[in-house]
Amino acid sequence: MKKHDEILELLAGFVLGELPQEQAGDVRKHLAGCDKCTVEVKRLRAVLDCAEQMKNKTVDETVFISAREKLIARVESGKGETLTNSKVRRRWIMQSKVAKWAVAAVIIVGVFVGFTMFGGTSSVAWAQVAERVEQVKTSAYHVYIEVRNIPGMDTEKATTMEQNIIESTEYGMRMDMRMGGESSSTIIYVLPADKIVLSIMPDQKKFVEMKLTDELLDQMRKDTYDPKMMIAGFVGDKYIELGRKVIDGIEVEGIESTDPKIGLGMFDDVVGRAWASVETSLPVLIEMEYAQADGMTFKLIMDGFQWDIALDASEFTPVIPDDYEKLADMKMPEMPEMNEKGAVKGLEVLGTIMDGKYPPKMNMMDILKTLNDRSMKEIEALVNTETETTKEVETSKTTDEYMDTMVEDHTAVMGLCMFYMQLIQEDKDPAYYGDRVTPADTDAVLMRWLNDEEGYRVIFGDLSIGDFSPEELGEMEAKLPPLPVE
Amino acid sequence: MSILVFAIYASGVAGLVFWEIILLSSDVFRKLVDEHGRLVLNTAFGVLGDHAGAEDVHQEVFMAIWRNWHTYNGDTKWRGYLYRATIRKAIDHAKRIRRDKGAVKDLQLGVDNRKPDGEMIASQMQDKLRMCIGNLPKRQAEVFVMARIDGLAYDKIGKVLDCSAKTVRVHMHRALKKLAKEFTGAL
Ligand SMILES: [Zn+2]
Repeated sequence: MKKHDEILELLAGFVLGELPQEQAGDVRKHLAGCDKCTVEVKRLRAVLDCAEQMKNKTVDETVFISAREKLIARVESGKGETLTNSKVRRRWIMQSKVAKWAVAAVIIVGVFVGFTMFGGTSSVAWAQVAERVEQVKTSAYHVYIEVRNIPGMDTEKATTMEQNIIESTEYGMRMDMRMGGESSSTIIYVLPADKIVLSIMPDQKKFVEMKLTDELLDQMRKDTYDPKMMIAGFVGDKYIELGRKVIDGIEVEGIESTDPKIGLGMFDDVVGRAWASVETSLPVLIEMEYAQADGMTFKLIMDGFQWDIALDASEFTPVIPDDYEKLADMKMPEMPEMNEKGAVKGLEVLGTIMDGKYPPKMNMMDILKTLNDRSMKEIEALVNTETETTKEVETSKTTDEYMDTMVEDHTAVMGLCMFYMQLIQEDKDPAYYGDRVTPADTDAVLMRWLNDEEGYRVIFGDLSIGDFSPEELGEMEAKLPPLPVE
Repeated sequence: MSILVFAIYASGVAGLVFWEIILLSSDVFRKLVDEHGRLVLNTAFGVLGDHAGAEDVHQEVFMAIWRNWHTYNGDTKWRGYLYRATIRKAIDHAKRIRRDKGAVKDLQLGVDNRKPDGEMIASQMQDKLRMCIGNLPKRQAEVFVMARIDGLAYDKIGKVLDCSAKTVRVHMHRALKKLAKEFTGAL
């Protein structure tokens, strides 16, 4: 028999029904002879009984709706104030934008490089694959992109992106895109006939329309980095045959290349693999991995290929419900100009940003990192002055204006880098001397490439342009300023 | 320019624009309220037993999140987070009922006087229990509400409070003993 004090300790467990049978029996026996404990049990039970009556209470939907309306009204009314006055919040929004922009830029470069690796011709068998693909009128495929350690972002988490794409030579392209970690998707239509690109976000009920210029359309028609025609064997000789295997029940034959040339100078390490069906000579799986010495990695996988499938015009017809909002007044960043003009613009921006110098190498990743570091610092400074300045004093540049300029600058620089990559890809013998030429060097060759008349196009340090024969260029390059001593 | 590279570029730009809109238009926040507002209201109502109090808690919980919106990211487990925040705020409110006890009692008698006696007494008793819960140490109050009013098992409560089921049980027993003392002591 247990003592009264011991039993008293067990009573809470007893009324909650948590005691083992034997202990519960002991308690029951004790209760029969102890008034004090019996009263305690009654009090404990009174609490539980009362709580039991409070269970399962729910409010009516009308209460929820009214509470929600009040809350949203409060948030909306206080929004402006929160945004302009909260330093932390402001900084956060700005930096998120810069980061997002950096991610977008990295992905664009990665994809661009990926598609150029299949540009040349070296193997008869793979040339046939290219030929076969070129005849295809429609295709559908899936793209997976994973980027880690993006310069300027302090997250180790991978940024991922998945796209389901359908393409038709007749109608254009539709892409259903989802960023990793975000539940909402974006649908993008590229419609050459209507000369527009539409981006629709169904979850937000919003859409953006971008106009395609004729110049851009021409460029898109002319160039052939399209996955539909990209398998033509690897550039260079450093590829190996991977032999045959079976993927998803299809017998395939593969090749792998680690030739740095296919990274267009943007990445330190590159591995590319392509598998094509033995039977149809059409691609089944394409994998590409790039790594940077600073730790950034980029992975691109294309699979789920379907070729010459029946695609209806309706699949390329955007459906935008009436209640979707068109973001017409949104300032859209311009498409980077991947031409000589764009290159000059980009160099001009870089010369200004880098205080009378040019970046030593035409490496987009390094350049983007420089740009991002600078943006983060300037945002920090701007947010600080904005908060410290009283309302009567106007700051010279608001954060919004800054953001616009930043995006413009980034776009110009991207145009320059992409143009340069294109020159490499097209074997135009490009060279860049930013490591020794500054904006002050009016007569020094900063960048050059083969023009269409067996001569060279030259951009000088002061960004003037001219055409020269190979001999003239040779003379000019012999007179380049010496490399700065470290 | 490949059509695909271009499309990806366009999506990057669109993403940038949309990102800004998402941040500024409070769409995501609105979605959060839509998705979890009922949980917050019902939980608060369970603890407080009146609509006005539940609505206050609902506002306070979500406003606190909105004020710190920049500190949250895609990893936040909203359901568990909101549930716990709601219980805490509701318990705080239960504490406040205590101070206005007189006023509440008179008001309730006035409102409830058409109800049968039994029910009137029951609602008074529940109010009393609410006050007692508000008076408990924080952790004990949370455990009691989750276990007895929301009917959660100890291991589930442990997950919300980030402790073991055993610890939850200890808190529960302590809470029950204290409540028994205060609750029936005043009856
Ligand atoms: Zn006893």
